[in-house]
Amino acid sequence: MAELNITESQDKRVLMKGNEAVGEAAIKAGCHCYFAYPITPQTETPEYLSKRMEEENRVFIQAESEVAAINMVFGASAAGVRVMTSSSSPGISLKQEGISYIAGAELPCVIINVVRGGPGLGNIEASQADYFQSTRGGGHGDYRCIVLAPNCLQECYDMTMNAFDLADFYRMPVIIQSDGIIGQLVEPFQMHPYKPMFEKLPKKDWALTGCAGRKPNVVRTLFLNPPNGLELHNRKLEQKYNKIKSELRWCETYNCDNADIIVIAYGATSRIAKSAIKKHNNNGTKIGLFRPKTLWPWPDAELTDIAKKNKSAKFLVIEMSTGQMLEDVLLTLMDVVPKKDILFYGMGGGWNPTPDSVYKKIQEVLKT
Amino acid sequence: MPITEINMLIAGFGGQGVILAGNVLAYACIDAGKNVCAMASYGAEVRGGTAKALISISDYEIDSPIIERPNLAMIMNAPSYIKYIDTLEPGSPVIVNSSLIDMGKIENKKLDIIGIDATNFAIRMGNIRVANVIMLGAMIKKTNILEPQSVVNGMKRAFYKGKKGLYYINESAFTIGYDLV
Amino acid sequence: MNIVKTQPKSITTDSTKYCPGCGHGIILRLIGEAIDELGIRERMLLTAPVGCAVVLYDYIFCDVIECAHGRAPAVGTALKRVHPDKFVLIYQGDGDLAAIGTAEIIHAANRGENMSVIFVNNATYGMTGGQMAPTTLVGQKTTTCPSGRTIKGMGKPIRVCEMLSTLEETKYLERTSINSVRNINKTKAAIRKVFQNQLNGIGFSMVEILSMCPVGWKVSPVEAVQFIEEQMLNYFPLGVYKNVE
Repeated sequence: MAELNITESQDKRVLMKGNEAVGEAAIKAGCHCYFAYPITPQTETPEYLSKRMEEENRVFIQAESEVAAINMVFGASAAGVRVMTSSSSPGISLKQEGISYIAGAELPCVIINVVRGGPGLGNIEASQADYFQSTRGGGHGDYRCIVLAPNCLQECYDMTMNAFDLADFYRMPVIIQSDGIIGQLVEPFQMHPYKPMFEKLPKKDWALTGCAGRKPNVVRTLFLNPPNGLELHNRKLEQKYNKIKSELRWCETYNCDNADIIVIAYGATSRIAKSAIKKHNNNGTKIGLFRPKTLWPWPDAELTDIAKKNKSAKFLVIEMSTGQMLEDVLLTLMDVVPKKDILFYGMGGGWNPTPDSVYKKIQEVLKT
Repeated sequence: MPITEINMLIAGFGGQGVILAGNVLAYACIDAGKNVCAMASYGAEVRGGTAKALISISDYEIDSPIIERPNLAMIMNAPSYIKYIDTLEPGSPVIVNSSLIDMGKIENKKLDIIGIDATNFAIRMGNIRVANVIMLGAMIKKTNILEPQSVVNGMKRAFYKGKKGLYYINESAFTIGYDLV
Repeated sequence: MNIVKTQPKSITTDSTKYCPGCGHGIILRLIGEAIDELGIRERMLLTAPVGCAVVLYDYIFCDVIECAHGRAPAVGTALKRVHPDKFVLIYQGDGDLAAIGTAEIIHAANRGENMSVIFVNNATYGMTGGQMAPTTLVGQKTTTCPSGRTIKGMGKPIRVCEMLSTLEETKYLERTSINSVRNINKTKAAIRKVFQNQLNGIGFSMVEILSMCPVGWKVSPVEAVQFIEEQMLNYFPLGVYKNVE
């Protein structure tokens, strides 16, 4: 049989599912260990990485539980290597114990949450109802995780690579907040090589590697003696979080000059909204879109700026939840925009808004 | 087909290669330098039930990955026909698998429906599973949304990682489907 | 005067926070001796559990990670996979290993992770003040079964060595006790064995040590030793449950 020759296309984009793109990005970023447990709609990531990690001679374990998986992440991170886990909402709830320990011990790791409907088993459709869980810590204690929200495959790939750098740079968990749409989406993207975000990353001199030639390293989260123990530790974390808030606020704006309405949405919802917005703007209205790419830190200064420049604009928050990011918008705009001009449109059942339903909602807001 | 944005539905039962047909089409779009975005059903829905793939193709940036009213469809079995036919835009070209869907019972839905005896042709070719690509061939001929060569290149990439033999039978299937219209 | 024994070099303290009559201190010493004898301190990655031994990092002079309750076998799995050339020691109590961490220990054992596990079974939750553990004996009174453990509603104590011995990838399982000098010496030998097994790459090895908790049991140290002899040994027979070379 003749050899099957692939004629190289001019177009160098590759085709993958969102859940596979995050996996390949982890490989490219030098993720040494990956631990996970199957759950819809994220199972393609462990399937993909089970093969790729073996090819690369790295560590993959299908853990006995989500709890075990995140604790393996804890161990591998403490051992000084790049490590990732992935899951979907119910699984992420189970991981919260471990995430709290990892944040408390100031260890870097990457966590992919392909959000689905909840509470409980909910359903397997896309949802954004884990916004609170991801941006407010999620587990016990006073901590935060950096949360990146991709809305396309290119961002799934790029942000996952960034996540490893951010995790190492700030020594904390970084969450990629995907969802059932983004995770299952197939679209082309440029699979460029890993490019570090930072010129230099801090040395992992805290890692457990055996104490030959140095004092023992201890990775711990227990600080029994107040006020010098836990209080100091939490203040140190607070300072770090404040630093991140001042350095890391990513967002995208579209058509936000002299807009009548500014829609605020992230992830898959932002793309659905954009379709509706374009349709409106074809009809001569002025609708803008503000899309946070970091959910924590929330890009508050950027949104405030936009509000100040669009004094008569109304703000329409769209989420696949009954209103979670809405609270961040209200907090950000409370001194700048009258509360009545901040409106909300959400889907609570693990189901997505459609371009048509968003179009109609915008129409309603225009009439008020 | 003189439309700038194709919103296509492919539906059938699990095992008919619905998602694979979507992947081939997506690879073909890359070959043709078009933007593409595909969403397939997943989870409980595809375990023995109806599988569907929704594919947007455009020369411009694709925003919403959600397709509400497809304007092109390939329907591979009767349950999918019943389930999805009313979701299509009026006037949309629809390729139906007439081996499994009784063309006599299809009412005029103001759609441009053509029947392709895909499963029977596939059986005659010796592999029932290529019915999807036969239909893909017919769809490309009917709509002209992509050059046939792009689809052939797309198939090469889609089948590259698996058994190479699969590519050759699928290439033949594509040609058969293309010539059927 | 002849010095017969000194404090092991790998042990950093001569006074622990353990209660009078507690078995953890004896076990700590045995571990320290084994570390010194095998010369593994600088290669050692130790997991500290939740429970009385949580502060192990204050006692053993090596790299330590303090784990969430019951999760040490998962954490240890990752440590060993990242650093196969290092020595991973898992130290767990009965609440940690046999209640909240049952899944983690069973699956680490089932995967045959090449780790050494010290399982301290004192039939109670010591740190929280003497509650019913998965290994609390039938009839034994605790603060959460004040009339004594009953089979109905509480089941029987879990025999961990016997349970893990059904998993084919476990290589060495032994139950010992520290109620007498003779048994302490046997425990030391068992600890050496599970350490040596990891160094030889043999695989998952565990020693379960029956240990005293006079404060949790609300008895005197002497009575605690008697409790092991008269009660625990009957239900938890000592011996080697698995030995694959």
